[in-house]
Amino acid sequence: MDALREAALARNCVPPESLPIILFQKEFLENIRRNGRLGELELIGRFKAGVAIRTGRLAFLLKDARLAPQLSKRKKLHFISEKAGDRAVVQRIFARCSKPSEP
Amino acid sequence: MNIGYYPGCALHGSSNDYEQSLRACMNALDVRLEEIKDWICCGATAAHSLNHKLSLALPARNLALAERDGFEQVFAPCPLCSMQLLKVKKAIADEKLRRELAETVEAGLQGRSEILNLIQLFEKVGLDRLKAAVKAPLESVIAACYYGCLLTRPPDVVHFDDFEQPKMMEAVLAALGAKTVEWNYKTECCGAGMTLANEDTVLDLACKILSNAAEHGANCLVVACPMCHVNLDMKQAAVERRYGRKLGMAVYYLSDLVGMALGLSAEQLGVDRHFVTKA
Amino acid sequence: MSRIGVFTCWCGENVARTVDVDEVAKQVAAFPGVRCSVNYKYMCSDPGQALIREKIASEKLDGIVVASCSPHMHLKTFRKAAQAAGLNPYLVEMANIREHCSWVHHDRAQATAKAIEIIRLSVEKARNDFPLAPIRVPVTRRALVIGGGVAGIQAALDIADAGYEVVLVEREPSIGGKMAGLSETFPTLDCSQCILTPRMVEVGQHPRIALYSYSEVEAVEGFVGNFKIKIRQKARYVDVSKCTGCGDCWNACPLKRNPSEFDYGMGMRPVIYIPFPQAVPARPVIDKKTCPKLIRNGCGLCEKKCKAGAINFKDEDKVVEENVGAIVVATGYKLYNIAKEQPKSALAGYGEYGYGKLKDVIDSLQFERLVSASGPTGGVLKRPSDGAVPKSVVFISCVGSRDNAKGLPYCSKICCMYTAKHAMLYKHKVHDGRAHVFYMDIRAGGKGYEEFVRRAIEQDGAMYYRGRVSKITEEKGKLIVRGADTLVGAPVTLEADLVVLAAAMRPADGVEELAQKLNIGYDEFGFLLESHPKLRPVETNTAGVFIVGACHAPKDIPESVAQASAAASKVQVMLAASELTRDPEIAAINEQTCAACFTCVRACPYHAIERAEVRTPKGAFVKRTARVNPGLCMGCGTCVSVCPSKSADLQGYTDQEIYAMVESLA
Repeated sequence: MDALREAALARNCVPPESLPIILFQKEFLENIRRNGRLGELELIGRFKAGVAIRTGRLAFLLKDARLAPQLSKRKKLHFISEKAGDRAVVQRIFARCSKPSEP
Repeated sequence: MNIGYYPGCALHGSSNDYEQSLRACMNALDVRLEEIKDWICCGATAAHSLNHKLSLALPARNLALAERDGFEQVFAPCPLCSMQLLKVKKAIADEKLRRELAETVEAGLQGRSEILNLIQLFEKVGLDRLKAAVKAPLESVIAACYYGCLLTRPPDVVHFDDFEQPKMMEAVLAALGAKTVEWNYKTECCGAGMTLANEDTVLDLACKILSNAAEHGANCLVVACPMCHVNLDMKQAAVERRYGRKLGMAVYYLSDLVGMALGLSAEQLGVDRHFVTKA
Repeated sequence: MSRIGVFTCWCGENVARTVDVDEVAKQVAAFPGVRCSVNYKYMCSDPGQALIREKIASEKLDGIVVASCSPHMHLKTFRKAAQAAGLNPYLVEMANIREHCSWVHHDRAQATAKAIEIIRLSVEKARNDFPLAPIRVPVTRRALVIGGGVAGIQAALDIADAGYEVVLVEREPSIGGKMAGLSETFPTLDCSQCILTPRMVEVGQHPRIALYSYSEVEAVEGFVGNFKIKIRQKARYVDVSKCTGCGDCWNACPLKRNPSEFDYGMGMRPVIYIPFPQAVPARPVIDKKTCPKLIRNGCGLCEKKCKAGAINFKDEDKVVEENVGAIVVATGYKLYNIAKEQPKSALAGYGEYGYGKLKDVIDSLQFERLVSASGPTGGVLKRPSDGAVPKSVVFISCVGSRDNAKGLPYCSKICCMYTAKHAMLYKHKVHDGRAHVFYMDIRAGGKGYEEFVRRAIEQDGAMYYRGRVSKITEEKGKLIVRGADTLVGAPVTLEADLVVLAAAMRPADGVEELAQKLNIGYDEFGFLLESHPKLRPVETNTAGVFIVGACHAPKDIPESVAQASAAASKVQVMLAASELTRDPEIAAINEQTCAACFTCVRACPYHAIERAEVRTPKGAFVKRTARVNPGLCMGCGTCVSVCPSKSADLQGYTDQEIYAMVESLA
């Protein structure tokens, strides 16, 4: 299945309803590339903004907003997320894996 | 027991109640969890969906770091992390791939560490030892053990339990004096990381799982995965709103129940930080 | 000086297109020992053969080489031609210039040169050939049939009706096999037992069939025409000569609730039992694993009730010897065990279907018993859990079959047909019931088969879904079946009262051990190997042993019966003469030079070499030697290659001949 996903993306033939999912995955990977570990708030922010802009659904930005205080109350909301120590190596790994694939 | 600990992004993010529960529980059992220094994200769903090489390289780096720190066993409480680690461990049996990955991740890579999920960690501690250490048997617990999809599948990678009718979580709970129910959604997916990107599917799946557990007589669910917990606990209110039904199912991490049986309090284990708490 | 004739065949265009046959004939004529060299368009045709015969006579040839196709095609043809002209048939060589030359090369000059070299080798061999005579082996004119299912029964009757004695060995207490347990057979919906039991009775009463029921073949020795069989008759604890089959004993038995093997666990039987009322022989057997008298000397009620005094708790297994000339293997099949535990880990089961955990998920043979008029529920379809009549039944095809992941990639052939039959039988019994079938393909290739399946769909209203089932769970007494309907393109969830799994056909238990006793081959699934899949489907590579029925491959009743009659006719051919002739191209050991190291004895895959002694005419011991049994040797040449003293040689392919061929090329 993963091979099919990669091939579909490469040819840009994906059903429109999967756009949020693909955007999420892409933001996720970009997030780890920069931070080494996932920065949740950053990911959520960029993801929601991306979807809202691309689909014109501004309400998407505010959906689940009521969860934020709940998460904060439970000390699950981290404004400054943890980052990996050696981030440069992560970026190098990403660079190596993003070269166009050889046989 | 000294075990290498690979928390993963979720446990240091919004699922840090799982880490609190783990640390309290393992402390009580005299199991030292040593965090692997400078671990990075395992890549999760995003990597294997978008970039095959990356999906091997990221967990490979963590395997290499664990080896560098000298850990023979690595405990990964999130099944997506443990599955990625096991996947790359299996893949590097191919010598050519192993050398390629070692170069990509800039570290020596042998792939000899044993990867453990939460249930396997309790088995290493020993169910008899666990039983003997129980101070408050969980007599009021009637649990539906929820394995989700990543603990038992794919079977040729994770080699964990019977992948159609798993029983190992039930065995742990039996040692704690709790009752478990036979139900039909033990290994059905909860939607995993789709919580934000595909909420409709997650709510649909979560509703089926929670309802089926209730129909079979359970008064709580037990999980060993932070994503399952989020989809079943944090999202339970949304499920109730969407489908118009009252569920009120508490969702515990397995380490919560072990900790409680050992006499730890709900506060110590972080159970008070769940969204659905026992009335 | 040799007088070899070389006959080069054009084979129409097959050889002549690539090889210059005129040039070949010309060059070959110059070889030492070649008396005449001709070419012709079709050597195998009547005029071609006539040409050979004519040249043998006119040129007084003492050996011929036919340069044409593979010896697999026409060696026999040319040997007969030579023999008709008075030349020993083993002085005939074939040079393959078609499969080995013209069919695999394009360059005319090179192919011609190669053809000439190939013929050079054959000429050299022909110069060194010596005449051989076919070997004669005496034949015991009796046959053994292993397995008393419909295939074994058919084979036994055919051979016995032809006038030969048959020994029929069946390991269950009664013959009849799987067919005796079926309800109705496709495509005619005949009652299975009604058509089979007359045959069973015929076997039981036939003057020339010796039936060993509740027995197994323990050991096989010997070779084609001369097999020595040891048969173990398992203890019944009932004296069949005294027993009248009245039934007082099994009615009296107090322990009536043992799962019946014949009903595949769908019904119960007492400890002393007859598997089904029409059993042949109609004599009971005591289950020694559960009989209290045999275990701890309790009960004994049946003995007291028996008016004929036929119960014998002191009975023991008996080993009997029989001599036969031919063996027919008809050991049949069993269904793939869908529950999780498997003897080989590669065959992991289908845990997602809940077979073994959910009572109302059964396999197809169990369903047959539930709908059979003589079954445990008297032909009323009652589901195992609560005895209710199911209003909705789901049939799942291809459980195990065609599944590489479960280790059984083959198609079990009969399931599409019997699933349609099951759907029809169910609808005939429960008119308002709903029959659902999940299938991958419909394989209905036999006579009347396609029409039969259409009937199930169009007349009896079975619903067919092209897709697989992913999971079966139970909610509130109903089975929830989740599958796919790929023609519609959507998942489908059904509620069923009963689920029937069409499990794969596998060879019966113990077939691999039996095959090793008989020295016949089997494949990775345990199916026995035929000699040639197209042209010799009932013979094996071991002379004198034939295979019929489902032990060879999944097949239905008409095919099993046809195969059984085919094997019977082969057996009759064998037994018709009092002697067998075999090709003499087998190994022979020079007993003077043999060092009696017996490496060949250990190496021979056919156990055809014996340790023997050389004695003077007066009987004094001279030396030990190895000796080839001409009845068993298949001419493989293994002994020749391992013999350290070069005492073993292959008649017709001697070392000297081979060296001469090689040297001629230099």
